[in-house]
Amino acid sequence: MRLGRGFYRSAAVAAAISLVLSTISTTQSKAQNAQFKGWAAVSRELSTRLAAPGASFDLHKFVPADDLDELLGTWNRFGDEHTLQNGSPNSVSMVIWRVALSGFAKSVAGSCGQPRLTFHDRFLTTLRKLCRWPAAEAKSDAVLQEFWFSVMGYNAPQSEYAAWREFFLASYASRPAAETIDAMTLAITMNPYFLLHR
Amino acid sequence: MIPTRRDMLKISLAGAGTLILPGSGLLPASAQSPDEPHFFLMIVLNGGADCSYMFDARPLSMTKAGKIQNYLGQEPAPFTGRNGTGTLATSLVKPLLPFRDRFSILNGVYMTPSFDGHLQNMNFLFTGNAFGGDSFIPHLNLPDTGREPQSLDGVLSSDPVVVTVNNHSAVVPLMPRAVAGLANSLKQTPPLAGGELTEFIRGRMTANASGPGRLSAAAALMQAGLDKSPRVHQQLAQLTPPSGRDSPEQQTLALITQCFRLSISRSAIYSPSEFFDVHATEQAKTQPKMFASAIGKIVTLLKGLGETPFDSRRSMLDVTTVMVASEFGRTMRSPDGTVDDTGTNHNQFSNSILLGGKGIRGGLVIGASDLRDEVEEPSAAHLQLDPLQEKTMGLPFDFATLTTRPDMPAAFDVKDYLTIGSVVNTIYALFGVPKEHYRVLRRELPTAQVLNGLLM
Repeated sequence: MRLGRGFYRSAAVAAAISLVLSTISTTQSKAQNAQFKGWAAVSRELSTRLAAPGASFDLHKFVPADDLDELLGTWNRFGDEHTLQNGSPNSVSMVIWRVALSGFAKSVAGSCGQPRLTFHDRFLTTLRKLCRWPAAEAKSDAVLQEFWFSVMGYNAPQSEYAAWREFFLASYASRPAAETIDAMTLAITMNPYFLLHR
Repeated sequence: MIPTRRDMLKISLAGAGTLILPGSGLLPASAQSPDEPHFFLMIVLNGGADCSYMFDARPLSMTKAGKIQNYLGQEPAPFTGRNGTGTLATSLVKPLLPFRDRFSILNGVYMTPSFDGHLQNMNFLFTGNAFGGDSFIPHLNLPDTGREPQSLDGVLSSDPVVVTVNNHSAVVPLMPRAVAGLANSLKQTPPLAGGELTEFIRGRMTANASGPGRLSAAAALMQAGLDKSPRVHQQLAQLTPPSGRDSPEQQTLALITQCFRLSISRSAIYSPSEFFDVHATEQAKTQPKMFASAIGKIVTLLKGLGETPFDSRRSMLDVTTVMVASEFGRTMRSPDGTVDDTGTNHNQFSNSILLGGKGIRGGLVIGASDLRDEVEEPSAAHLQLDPLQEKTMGLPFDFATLTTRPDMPAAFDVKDYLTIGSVVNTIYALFGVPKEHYRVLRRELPTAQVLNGLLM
């Protein structure tokens, strides 16, 4: 029996597939996890959303020490490949995010009087309304939604906003504005939808 | 001073005598107590280091015959392990000789079955899968080992090793230069306290961690990291910054030993800056210099571990298992050019690994690669994988005696060879990692055999 080209081609493909399969471990693979955006990207997003036109925030001052921003996700080049390194969440990166974002949140909360960062006018207007907390006008859905979208952007589902709003209306109902805005900002910026690439 | 053959023989004979000491024979290993402190240091020689510049050298007659490049230009000396197995070693390894009874040499270690790329073989080294997967490093910190897990699975105290792994979220890059700022800052900031706000933030992570997607997986990691963060915060705040006057390796050592002693991390990964991927002739000619530098760094770490107390009874080396490995070895030469004007390519069929420290029987030479001189003929199994005879290849291996076999297989069968799977499974056995994690030789084959004779 003569074997045609098709047979050899099929055999070669089958051999190649089995070669690839043979190298795959029998252990089950887990789903890859999303990576942190990294400090540079988060800084850029916050500047884009909140800073006055032509200005950008110097948010590096909130990172606990030089080089630590690399632990929050940084691009690495290996030959022609560019990969995001250190983007997987871990306990050390969570410590650093918490410290850095707490600093940013305090700056936002401390801007009810003299702004500590060069915010754009629209955000300042929203912030000043929120600074009247716990007054009723600061708790309106329009003000809360404007603040939420200003910081979070449009990456999170509506359910995240609803949970955030409900929590602050209930748990911070009578607390001072500075404490509330600090906590609101930290709660938004520590949200997975804010910190992670989707 | 370059050690002469006579020096090497003297040292070898002295070492061989210790084989008759109680408890030092080639007997099966006894299990380590879970209460014993046990850490792991992995030193990665990046780029594929040529084993012939260390403990798997070739005689100059092979170079004269045009078979293998040798830019050191010196005759290697015989090196015999306490188990009587010999190899050839270059003068470049002389700084390691004071530690020869603390580590063993594994030659002819087979890496991936099918690929000769850097990433595939680095993946295979860490995960047992050329395409990546779960790394063995976090497995050493599993609660199933019987030890209380350290806060982190590992710290990476040098530039990143490029590898595709799923489970390195608790293998954290931590460079010595970052410690001062980190510790000072954390001392000034209180750790995350409990309370409503923390619970809310945690709750959003929990709520988003339940789905099947990538964001959910990351949200789960964020939550796990947040839960551990108060303890990690307090531990990191205790770190003392390494002295800026010390060499980078001394600073690395200071950081690693603190991470171990403060229960921050189970393992540490360190990769010297030398990059051993020497395809071009000019790169290949720098190998003696690169190896001398990298070996000097390894010696600094080993010496430092030996001199740094873990407690009143033990040094850090007494409680740390150390592995030195590259992703693969190298071909003997490139096909083009003359033997004194050539680079080398990748060789996944023969790698050398040093394994020492806690739990490892030191002073042994285990395994060997073929084509040991200019007249040795390869087996048919070798020719099956490397018909042009560009690569050395591990010799068939007897796992009971940890010696090479004299037969010349007619066809390649991975069960005949010493593989990286066996090396990793031996480390697993040492740390008490459950057998479900042991590496298989191939998906339809059994687990790679543990090198029991290597364990104390």
